[in-house]
Amino acid sequence: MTQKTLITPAENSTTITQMDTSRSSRLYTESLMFKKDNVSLSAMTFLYQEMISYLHQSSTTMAEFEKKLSNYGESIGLRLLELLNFRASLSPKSFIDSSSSATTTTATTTTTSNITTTSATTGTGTAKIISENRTRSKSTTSKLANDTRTSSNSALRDHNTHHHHHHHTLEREKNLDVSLCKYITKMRRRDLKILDILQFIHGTLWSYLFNHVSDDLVKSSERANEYMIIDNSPVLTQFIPNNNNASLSCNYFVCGIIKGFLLSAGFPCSVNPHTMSTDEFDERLVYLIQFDQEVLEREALRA
Amino acid sequence: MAIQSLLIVNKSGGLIYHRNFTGTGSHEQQKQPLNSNDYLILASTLHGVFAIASQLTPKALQLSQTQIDYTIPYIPNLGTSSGAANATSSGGRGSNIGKLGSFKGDDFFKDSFTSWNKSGLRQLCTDQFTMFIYQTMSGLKFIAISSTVMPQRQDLNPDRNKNINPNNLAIQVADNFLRKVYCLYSDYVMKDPFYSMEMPIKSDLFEKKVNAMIDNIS
Amino acid sequence: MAIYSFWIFDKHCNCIFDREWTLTTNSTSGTTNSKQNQETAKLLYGMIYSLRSITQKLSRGLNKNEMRSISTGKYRVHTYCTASGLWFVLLSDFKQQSYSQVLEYIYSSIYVTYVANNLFSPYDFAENEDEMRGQGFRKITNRRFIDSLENFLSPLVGQ
Repeated sequence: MTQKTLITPAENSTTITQMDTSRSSRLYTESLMFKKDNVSLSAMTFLYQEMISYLHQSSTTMAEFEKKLSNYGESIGLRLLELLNFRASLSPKSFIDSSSSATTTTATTTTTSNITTTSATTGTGTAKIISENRTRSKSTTSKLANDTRTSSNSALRDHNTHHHHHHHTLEREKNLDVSLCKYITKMRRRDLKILDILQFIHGTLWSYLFNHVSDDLVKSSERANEYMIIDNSPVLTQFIPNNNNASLSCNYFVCGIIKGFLLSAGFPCSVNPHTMSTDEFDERLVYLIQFDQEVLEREALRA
Repeated sequence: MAIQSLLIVNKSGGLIYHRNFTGTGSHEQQKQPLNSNDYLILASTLHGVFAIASQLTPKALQLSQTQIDYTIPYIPNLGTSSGAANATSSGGRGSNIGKLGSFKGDDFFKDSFTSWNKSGLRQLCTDQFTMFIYQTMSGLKFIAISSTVMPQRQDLNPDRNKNINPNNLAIQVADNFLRKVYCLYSDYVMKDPFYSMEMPIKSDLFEKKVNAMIDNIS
Repeated sequence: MAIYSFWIFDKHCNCIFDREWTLTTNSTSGTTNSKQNQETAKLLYGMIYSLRSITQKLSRGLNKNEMRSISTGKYRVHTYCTASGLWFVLLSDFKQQSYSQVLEYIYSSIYVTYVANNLFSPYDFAENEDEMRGQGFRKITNRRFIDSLENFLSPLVGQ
């Protein structure tokens, strides 16, 4: 769900790319490369609404509800740190001046993404094409590889459908790993300072989740351990009316994501939502992050 | 077209939303303002009449099998602020995004659509107001009461105005407007986790958006 | 532009006249004062009665608010209520916006001339208590009235 960027769809009727059951192993074999995928906002909010009402009904107190919702987000946040750090290491530049033939790599990645979205049979074809390309590019010039690849593309696909599925699985996994990792010259270092990790949330995490950076990142002037991330119009809770006393609590999901993200980065904290409406933005929301004391102590030691 | 009242009636005839918009001021007040019970009765009466109306289709129509075109043309920027105001107010994203909820672009829809209200009640013309009913596929009814009064005197030369019959134009405008209220409903009511189906609508966001749309229209 | 049927209801909720055309191409087709239309007449009266009560509930100011027409996606019902509680109802094509003048003419020039001014026609079509409240069955059978109405309405049928 949050694996995809949230973008406003054209209409309620926008369909989500259908999942193909014949590609159940796609989850593991698909490249970790960032692909721009849109999810219908309607579908997303309907799902979120069901999640909220399920939790709301199964909880006896408001605190319990907030805790549960936050836990949902937390498990996503924990994973996101890993994924986004990995992706941030993959600078687009590395594709151009990476060691092996540049044209082949870019060409390969485009085919991969194209194919995975087109037909079911290509699931088997993808890896084969990549490996094929690599062997070719070793022997021939990259230009030639490009030409032959396109022609061999369809032929390979036909050919592969006759093969047994499992035959290629291992090979494919290995190839994909290599194909991505090869272009990471240097892993991004984990953020160790409060400000750095918050910047990462403000920029990268927010762009990943909501397709824009957060609207503001503020440090509290009163308390040293408090920071605020501000969202002028929260996407997930935009349809939930404010006249309900439970409405603010619905934001604990995103709080949970932030919390999980910071926790796995080694910054234990608590995150709470607060409304702070302005003239222009009625729904303006502040995520208040309160770091544990140990984080501040560590920060002081490093300085 | 000044909207006086807006009602939403659920598929079993219960009134789930009702607002009077008395911003026009120039109108005389009702002798005895109706209480909420009166409106409940009104809603269920309309619901019943709606069903009766479809039973009354004349024999001549049943026999002739003429195909009636139920397509309602799209009327641009009805109830939504125009594109110019949109561009100036947007300092980036934020104010622009979420402006129309989950609807992309500067209007909820841009195409003509087919009316689902084929044999039920659509319009009631009286001396003081006109009532319009828009029915959704699931039987939900959006009812607008407009202070516009349809002309009761026939044009001396009807051929001249054949294509711009004010009555049918009014139905099209009303259908466009009510369809947009339906769009708002789909966002701010259906996506509210604390709303229980078929129950009165209490969402302040829905309220606010409807008011904004009414303001834009009149 | 076509008309489908014409009805008169009296103040006792009885249908005292009905005329339905079944073919828009033929103005002599259809039925007059048909027994089969009894149920339809009741439904029609029920609809008009309910909507009239809504109309009057929602009226503003001192003037009485009268219903003019009811439209569905298929047809339109034009109504005209006289001071004596008579209802003149015309079902037409839904595109046609107003038949008020037509109904007023039928009342003033045809009904008044051939029914109200006719000493041999009953003043009240319900002769006793039992025939009130929608239980009546007497119809206007006056030949002159029917002929005159037919002459007036037939050009509108297939218009």
